[in-house]
Amino acid sequence: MPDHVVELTDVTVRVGSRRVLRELSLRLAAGSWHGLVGANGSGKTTVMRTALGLVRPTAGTVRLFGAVPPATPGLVGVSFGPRLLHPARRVRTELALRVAAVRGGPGDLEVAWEHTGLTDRRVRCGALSLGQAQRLSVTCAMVGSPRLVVLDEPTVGLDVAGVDWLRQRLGEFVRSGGCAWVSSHDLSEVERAADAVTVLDAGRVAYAGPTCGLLGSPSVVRVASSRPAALARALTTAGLAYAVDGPAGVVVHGAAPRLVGEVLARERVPVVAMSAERTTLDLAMRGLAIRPESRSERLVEAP
Amino acid sequence: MTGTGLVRDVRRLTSVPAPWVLLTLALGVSASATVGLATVGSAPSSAAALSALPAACGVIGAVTVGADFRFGCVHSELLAVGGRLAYVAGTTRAVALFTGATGALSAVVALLVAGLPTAPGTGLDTPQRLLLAAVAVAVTWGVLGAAVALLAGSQTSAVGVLLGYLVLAEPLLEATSSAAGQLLPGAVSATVLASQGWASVGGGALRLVLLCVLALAVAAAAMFRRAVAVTSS
Repeated sequence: MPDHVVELTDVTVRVGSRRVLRELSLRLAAGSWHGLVGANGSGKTTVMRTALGLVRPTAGTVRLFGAVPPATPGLVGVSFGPRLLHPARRVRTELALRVAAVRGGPGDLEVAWEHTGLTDRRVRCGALSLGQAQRLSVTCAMVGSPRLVVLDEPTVGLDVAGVDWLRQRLGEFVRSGGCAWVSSHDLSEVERAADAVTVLDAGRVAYAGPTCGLLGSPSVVRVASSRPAALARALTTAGLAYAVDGPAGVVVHGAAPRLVGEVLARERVPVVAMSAERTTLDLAMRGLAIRPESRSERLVEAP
Repeated sequence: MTGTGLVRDVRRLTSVPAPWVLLTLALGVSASATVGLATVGSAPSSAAALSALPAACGVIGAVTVGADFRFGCVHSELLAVGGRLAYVAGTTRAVALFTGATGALSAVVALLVAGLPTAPGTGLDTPQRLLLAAVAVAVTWGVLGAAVALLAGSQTSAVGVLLGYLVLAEPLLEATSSAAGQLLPGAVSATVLASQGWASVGGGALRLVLLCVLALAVAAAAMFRRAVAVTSS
């Protein structure tokens, strides 16, 4: 078995003239829960599709279980969303088809059926609620014995019990040596469950590594001033990364509160409020998303 | 290709209502056309009895394969069967089987309702010839419909293109060039359905098979190159 389940090296994907992925490299190990996060349009779904062989890269190499995708049938389970099932097909038949695809038996069908939590055997996919359809879609992805499960936004539509169910299923799957690759906007869930995380920003990898490595980054300092433009100038001069936070405030990333305080005191910037916060995935992502071109002087002082 | 895979492919196709509705439509047209002709005093005609077969089978192929793109099932199916060519082969053989059965049933209905083989001047004097002609035409149009759906990557476009071709494009092409008309699938189908001997049925069926192979090759090449959208229309 290769070292990495998924291996993308310098992958670029163009759609028309737009580069959706830019020289992106990524490796996913077996036995890990890998989170994929990023803003809308950052390329999360495209990178998953590229890794699975559904999109051909313009440049770079893609390996799935050490070979060019697609993988051998049954090795990969995928859910790209709760509504990507034929609405007129009965749920039970949909599951039976998935079981047949991995050459499973009637026992596998019964196990899968229990995981859906449904009782009506004649219900059609189109009649399910969003949460029920999501649960069915995830169940379909995990039918058989896949070694990689790719889930795009699997918590959408799930209630608290559904999220617990998903967490438990993926936990068991990862403990058995599988690789769960989950994209999500539910950052608290990724923060809680993922061993490793990749943060995408405009088609590039902004961070890839252990989740704790991202959360262990320097703290976040919120500062508000009666002279926001002077505040922005002082931080820029000191080379500190910040993001605008309201009309008179900023969020400073990657700097200790003491350093921020010293810089503002030296530049005689009046401070109205200042607080330090524990880094969350949400805040860490905001910090990663700050690029030089977005660090413009958007704060202006009231006349 | 395994037996298990074939059963799964056919079950996948037949587990939604659309192909059954279209099969019923084909049978209904077959029965009503023959009865209608008899009512107005015309001689029974195999071509008239099976006139809806190309459209019905084409739409069966386009609707069933196009549904994978419309509802976004195609990506999970590609991964389930292990690749694009396996997907093309699996879906096409299921469509061919179902539309072949549709053709055979339509022929049986025409035979039973109108007594086509015994009627004078029907063109086909044996049930076997009518069956062969109907199956060949039905499979051809089913495969063509599937190929158009694979090319278009969209259910709506595939049905539109197919019906547009049958109703508008082919009659225009035939009117433009009678020589070219002999090679067009609609014209060949009509010829096969109205054939009077085994030789002409066999020759027409061979041309239909070649058309199928050509359409499938183009569709498979297009499918092999395309990026498969997660959602489509």
